[in-house]
Amino acid sequence: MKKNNIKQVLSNLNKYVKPHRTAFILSIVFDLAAIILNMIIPVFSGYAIDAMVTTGAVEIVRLIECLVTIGVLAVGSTIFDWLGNYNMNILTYKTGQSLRSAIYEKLNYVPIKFIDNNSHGDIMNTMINDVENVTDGFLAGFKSVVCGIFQILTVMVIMFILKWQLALVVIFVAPLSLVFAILLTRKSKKLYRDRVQIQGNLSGYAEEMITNMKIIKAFNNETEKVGDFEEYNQKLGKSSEKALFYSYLAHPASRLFNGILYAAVVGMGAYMATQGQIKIGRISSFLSFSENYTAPFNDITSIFADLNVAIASADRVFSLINEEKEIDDSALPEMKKCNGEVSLKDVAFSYAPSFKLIENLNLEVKNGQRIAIVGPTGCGKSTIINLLMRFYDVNSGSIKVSGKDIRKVKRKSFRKFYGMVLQESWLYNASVRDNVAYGKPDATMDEIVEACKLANAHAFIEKLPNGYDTIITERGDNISAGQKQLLCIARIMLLKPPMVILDEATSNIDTRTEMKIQEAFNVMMEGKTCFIVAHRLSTIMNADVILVMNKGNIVEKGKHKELLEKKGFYYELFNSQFGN
Amino acid sequence: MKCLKPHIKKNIGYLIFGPIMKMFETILELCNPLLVAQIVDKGISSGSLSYILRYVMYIVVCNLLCFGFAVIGQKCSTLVSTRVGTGLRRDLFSKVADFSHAELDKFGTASLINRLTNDIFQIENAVGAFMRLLLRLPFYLVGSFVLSLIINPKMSLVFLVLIPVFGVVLYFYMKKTGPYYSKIRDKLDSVGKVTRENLSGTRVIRAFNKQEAEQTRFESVSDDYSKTCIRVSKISSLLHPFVLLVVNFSTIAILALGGWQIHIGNMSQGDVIALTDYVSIITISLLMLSQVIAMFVRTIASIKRVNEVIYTEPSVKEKNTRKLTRLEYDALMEFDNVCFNYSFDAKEKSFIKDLSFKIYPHQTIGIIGGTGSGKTTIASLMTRFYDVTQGKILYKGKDIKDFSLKQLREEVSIVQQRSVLFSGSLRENMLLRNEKATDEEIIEALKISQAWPFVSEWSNTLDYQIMAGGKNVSGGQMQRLTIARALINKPELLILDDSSSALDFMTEKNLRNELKKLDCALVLISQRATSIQRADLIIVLDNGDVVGMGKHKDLLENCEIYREIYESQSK
Repeated sequence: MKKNNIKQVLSNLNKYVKPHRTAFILSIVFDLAAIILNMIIPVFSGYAIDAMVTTGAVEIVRLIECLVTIGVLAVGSTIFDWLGNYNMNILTYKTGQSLRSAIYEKLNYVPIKFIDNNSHGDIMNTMINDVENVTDGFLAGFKSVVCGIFQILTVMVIMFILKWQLALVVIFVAPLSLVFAILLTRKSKKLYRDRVQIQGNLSGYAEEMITNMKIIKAFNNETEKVGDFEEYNQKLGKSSEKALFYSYLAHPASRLFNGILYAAVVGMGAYMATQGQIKIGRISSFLSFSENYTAPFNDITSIFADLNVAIASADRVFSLINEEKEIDDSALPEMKKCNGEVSLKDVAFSYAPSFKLIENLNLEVKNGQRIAIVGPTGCGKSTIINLLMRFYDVNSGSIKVSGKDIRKVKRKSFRKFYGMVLQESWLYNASVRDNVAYGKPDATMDEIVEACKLANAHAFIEKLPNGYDTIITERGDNISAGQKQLLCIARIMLLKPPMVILDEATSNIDTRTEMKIQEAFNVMMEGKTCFIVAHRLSTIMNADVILVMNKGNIVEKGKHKELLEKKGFYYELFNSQFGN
Repeated sequence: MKCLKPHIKKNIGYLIFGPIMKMFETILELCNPLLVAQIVDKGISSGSLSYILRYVMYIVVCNLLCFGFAVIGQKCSTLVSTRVGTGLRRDLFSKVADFSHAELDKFGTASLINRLTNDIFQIENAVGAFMRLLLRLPFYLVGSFVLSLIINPKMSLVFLVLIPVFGVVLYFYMKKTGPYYSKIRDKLDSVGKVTRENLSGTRVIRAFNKQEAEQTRFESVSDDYSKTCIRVSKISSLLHPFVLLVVNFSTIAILALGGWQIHIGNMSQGDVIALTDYVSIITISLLMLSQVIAMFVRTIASIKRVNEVIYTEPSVKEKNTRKLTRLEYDALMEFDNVCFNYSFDAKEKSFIKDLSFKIYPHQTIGIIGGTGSGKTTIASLMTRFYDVTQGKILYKGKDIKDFSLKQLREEVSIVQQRSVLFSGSLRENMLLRNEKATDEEIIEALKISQAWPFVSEWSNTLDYQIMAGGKNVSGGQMQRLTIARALINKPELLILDDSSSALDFMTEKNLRNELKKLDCALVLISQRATSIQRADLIIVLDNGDVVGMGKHKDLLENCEIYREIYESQSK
């Protein structure tokens, strides 16, 4: 199963490596060149040693020849090694960049459901950390494996050419350390898994406690929590000790095997030397070779450990990249005009099949009408907005805008007829001006100012330190909640769409501020078809139709007065909010 | 490095013993080439097989001993690294528990969690790597140098040059790449930031059809990040080849000098082989060093981040830890010309200005105002989450700073805005203020807070398992449960900071009536005028300024903002 995983990951990864294959090929070629040059050096250092047998008998010319050759080889392999590393880095970062772009693009085109149902923290983690694990683990790992195998082969060939009897000793003794390392990895794997688990528990606990530290402090409960944390902490310490000890054993063990190999080469070599079959310099070369031969084995075992991490990360990266996109709409026609009429016919929808939500919803909205959706928190008010904007598709029935089924035109083409203001006023880390011009980047400064004046935002923007060029900070804490919403209104005023959606647009604002910006809302909504989701009934009393929702269903429908007279759910809701 | 000190001290035994083991290990390892030299010079020339075999056995024994020492050394290093990690986590977490709100705000939750987990993990790894890999280095260097000195003092010159050359190379490497790493970190943060913005604004982005523009925006930060990385890698990928180059040239130097020394009869062939072996032993350890260095550069940033937390002093300090009893007082709490701002500097412009009022036992005080008007700030001053910058808060007639935090927070109980329950049973949550509270006391509190009707319907009532963040109770239920939690242990002053906003009118009214019966003073903070209009004193805030103070009727007449708030809600 694991093999399949790797195969799948590689075939997935291949697509993102391909555009950078020049760097890939160059990196491997340069590295192989560096290895060959580097592996020849011991041959010449062996020759050099043979050129200095004993006092007075040193062949100076031969020695100098050897040393010059070594120098040239060393400089060459240094340059190749650098080029190889550099190209590898280019490949790693560029591939990472491609993967991130692919993830980001996917995030913009997956059904909204995906974004709603997945933890944003997890997605961020995949974007930042998992991508890095994949590029480091697979690309660097792949290179090490290729180069390692090549180095083993090169050394083997050279050894056989020089002295096949000694070569056999090296080839058979060296892999022993590999066997030992594999056994050790097996043992430490389970310990590692335990450790990851305990670490997860500790992080979870710490996250909950630090997030709520202010509450804990109010209750004098810090000491208890520190005590609880310490329990997790000690457990983690104990399990780390065990896991690390075993995995770190691999290194001394491999050195032990190297030492034994070293002894074998010297013993065998010395024996052959007494028989006159080999020169001393060659023994010295073989000692270097035995090290160069075993080093890749050790590297490769450590790569297998990293590979586990990389595979887990790659699973997450590619399952995100391979996520289904929204249903393709490129073949559908554009919606060119919009008369502001919306009609919902027999609409049924639920987020999960087992949990019924909206059923049989019928609604005819004429141009300029104001539709309000009310109900207690969590009753599914925003669901209707999700359907209107086609963030989710209806299960059955249809929604038509201007007489056209919204599933039969391009999403973009009908969405542009809606202006939307949500509860969380979404501004991004850019200037006020860019934020206002978000829907119309080519707007002139005059248009922007005009829109801001209409939205009652011009006056406060002028007072900001840099006026329209003031940068909204990442946390958006340099302007108030009310001001943020005014910018969102200005954004819509610039576009003048025929239809407007307000989803709890004032629920983060206090009522007095709301009253002050109400005027801006009124200007924005003037003459437009409006859908207003609100939990404050005061904002929706003069709507043309009020949809009253409870537990996902529309329980009442009508005008404010009619609904009050009915003495039903709306009546109760109204009284619990405003009764006396 | 400061934060590591106490842990270094605590584990000093292992820290000394470990390297001693490493020292034996390296000395034995360095014996290998000497033994080889013996075989080459004496064994081969004399042709004595038994001599050769004996020395081969020496090499094997030498390596076995080496392995034994390595295992003990390894044990020491895992012990030290995990203990340092455990210790740092404990230090950091208990420091966070000591922080007052000012420090919690300054660092932010995400950053603290990150430091507690990732940064300390990084440090733990680095300490381990330091103990396992780096500590060997000086023994290798010194050992090789000493042995080369023994073999031939003239040859040791090569080592004398080689080692400082490395020092210089590494110094420049760290100096060149170090600053880049924090830059790279920042650029990666930008990539994260744009992604986060995209996730939170996905509906707006699609409503405005801005997917392509967003992609372009992302590409530019992402490109910036990878370009910077590649630029740094031009330097960083030089390290490995450079190490190789230096080592190869050292080999050349050894062979050249060796040739000369043999020629004049100062040295044997076996010695040259041993010396080239030393060069390659040093190479391997230096290569390891070059790999560990990059890790250390990153770790320094982590250590700084952990240090910053551990050595930040909480701004709210306790003068006294004893309980003060038999106090005589008239007003339970008094604000006397209190000024406060979030830079905690009396010279800065005050956010809360010259606030004075008194709370008498059994009174109800209402605080009202828009978002960001300073309501929560005042509540936080009452419980000493922050200290005032000017003026004084008196509690029971004495400066609030004279009380222990424990006593103050036992007697002044607060339900914070957006308060949540913790994962665990409902009972565990209710015992936060008093571990020994009985079920009867808990149920009584639940009844007062209007929570008992729904809790009693749960099949396992007090044993009901709450999920982290209280995800399995509704907003209104959560508010009632957190109020009940604050009632345990009978506080003398109860502060409810916007904690009944999700309750419907009837429930809230019942709650207010029940609270009124309690033997305690009440501070109600709300955005709703109806919630506070019956208070004995209402404080109206606007952007930190007190714009009105008095009873409902007076304020309706005299305070424009209060009137506006009232009207905005009663239409």
